[in-house]
Amino acid sequence: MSLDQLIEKCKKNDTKAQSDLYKLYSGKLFALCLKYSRNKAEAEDNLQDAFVTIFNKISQYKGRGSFEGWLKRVTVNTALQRYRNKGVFDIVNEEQLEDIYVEVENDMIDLDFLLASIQELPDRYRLVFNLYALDGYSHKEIGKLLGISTGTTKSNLSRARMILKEKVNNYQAKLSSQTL
Amino acid sequence: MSDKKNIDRLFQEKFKDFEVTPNASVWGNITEQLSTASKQKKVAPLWWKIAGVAAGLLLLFSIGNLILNTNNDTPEEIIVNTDSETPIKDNSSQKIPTILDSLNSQEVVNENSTKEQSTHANKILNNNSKETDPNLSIQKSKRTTLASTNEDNTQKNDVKTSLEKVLTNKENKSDALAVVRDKAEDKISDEDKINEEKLDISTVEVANVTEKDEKAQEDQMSIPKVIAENNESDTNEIEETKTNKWSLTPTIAPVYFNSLGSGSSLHEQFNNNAKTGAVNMSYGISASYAINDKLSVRTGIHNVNLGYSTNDIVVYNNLQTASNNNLLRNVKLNKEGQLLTFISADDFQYAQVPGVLSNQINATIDQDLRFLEIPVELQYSLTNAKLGVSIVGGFSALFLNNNDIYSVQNGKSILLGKATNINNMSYSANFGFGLDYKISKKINLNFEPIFKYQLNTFNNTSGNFKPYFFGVYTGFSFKF
Repeated sequence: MSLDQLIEKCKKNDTKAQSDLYKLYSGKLFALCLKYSRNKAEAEDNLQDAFVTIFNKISQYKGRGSFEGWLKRVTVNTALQRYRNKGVFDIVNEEQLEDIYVEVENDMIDLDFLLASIQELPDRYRLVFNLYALDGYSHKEIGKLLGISTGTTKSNLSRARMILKEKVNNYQAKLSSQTL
Repeated sequence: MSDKKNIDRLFQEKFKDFEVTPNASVWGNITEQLSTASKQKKVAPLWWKIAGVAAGLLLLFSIGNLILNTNNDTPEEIIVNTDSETPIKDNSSQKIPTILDSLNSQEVVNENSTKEQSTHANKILNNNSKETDPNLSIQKSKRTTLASTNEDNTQKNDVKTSLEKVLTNKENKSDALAVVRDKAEDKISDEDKINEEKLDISTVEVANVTEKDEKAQEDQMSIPKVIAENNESDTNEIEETKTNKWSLTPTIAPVYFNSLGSGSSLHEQFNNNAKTGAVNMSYGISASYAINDKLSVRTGIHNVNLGYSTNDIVVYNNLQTASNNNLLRNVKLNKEGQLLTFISADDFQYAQVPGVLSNQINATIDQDLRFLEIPVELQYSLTNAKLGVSIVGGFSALFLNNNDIYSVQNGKSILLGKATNINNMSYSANFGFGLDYKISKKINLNFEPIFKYQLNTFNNTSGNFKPYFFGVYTGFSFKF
């Protein structure tokens, strides 16, 4: 069955098709949720909400743009929804830092560590870093999504990078001390 | 293999194919949420249908009401005008009813003489004009009287003072008449003259007509504008108090019919068979009159369909047209029905039955009834807020309209005949609750779950057959 057929069936509330769609995309979307959430439980909640929205609104997907892209946008929006109206986006800081480089031993860095580092970021830094660095949103889009200025998103991004760099450096130092 | 790279790149590369299988419980939660959502969606169409029917009834009713109202306009006003005892703010207006009363009482006292006078007046009129119709002649006499009053009257008092005069001299007939003369002052034109004595007599007539036919009076009698205005304000006030007295409610209700006990209306062999009540529709219209704020009485007419199934019945073809009617004691079987035999699966013994029938066990006997219901109920409201709560109790008269018995097996139903034990007229005792939501001053949305216990619908039932039906009556009520 092609993806288009699957989508059509989902539009008719076919439960089998919904289950198939879930199996197809839940892995990717859950990974997305994990990045945007503080922890696994919150990510699961987001995934659940995202899929309910997806199945209820699937008739709004008219085949323009990739379906996966649409699913991701819905999921990201669901994750962001959690932080709207929570005062998370209120801090205004126009300070901007340069691009940050970090020296890495690529193979040695564990994915779980990186995920944990992201999840430990303050809420807004985490969201901005995810949106910009990992999911390709522009500062302008991020500003709109979060209701903040582009200056603020840029500043948040820099701070997120700083924190992550420090974590990665510490992690590597720890690793190399263990291996020695 | 050390490498200096942008921190974004590091994360991008690592997360490129990042996938994690979520906990299985997540999918469970999703399906649960989706199914509750779809259930809510399924409910909607039924409500749409009901709302559609209600809207249709509303439209029909409002058209009907419009027509009725235009027909009723004139008589209603007359009724309103006769009730001139409602409190009125203005000084002068307080006096008018009194004058009318005083004139009225004089009229009662002098009933005999009035008759004479009226004939007298007619005579006079006949002298003056060619009128022969007594009613018309009275009106004519008014005109003539008033006309002459103008000429004769030397008093230039305004209406108010003359009214006061009457009040102080209630028993003085001539004064009262003088007032009427004064009242007529404005519109008086030159017409035939009559001498004063005759004038007095016909003025009494005028007073009588004043009360009976205010409308005609407005044109001809010409009571001063003050009075006319006051009467108008009376009319308005009275109509306002009347606003909430009457209401009409087209209703529609799903009704569920069943028996409280375990008997059967068909035959004693089915006493212990499982019965399934059917949900049917009842629709109709009711009219309600508010006795006071709390209590209202109402009646109406409803079409009610009721039905129930007796389950677990074995049906088989008779070998010959046998006299098996005794197995369905209370049913008059038609030709097709006479070819069949019905036995409760409870009593079923294979030895009794000519073989090949083991799969026939799933039949049901369905009874379909239709009544015309005329309820008489009292409604007592507990709260009068935007959302009102009330209790409802009363009786219904049920007139049998249709009565069929079917045998249903594997989805096929065969008409068997009619029940013989249903009264053409029977009663039910009704009790229920009412919720009404006040959409506007004139329109309420009602929602009334009502339980109706049938008192004597069936004769000759067996076991503990106690039929009832339960309906949730919904409709918009229109006050007027």
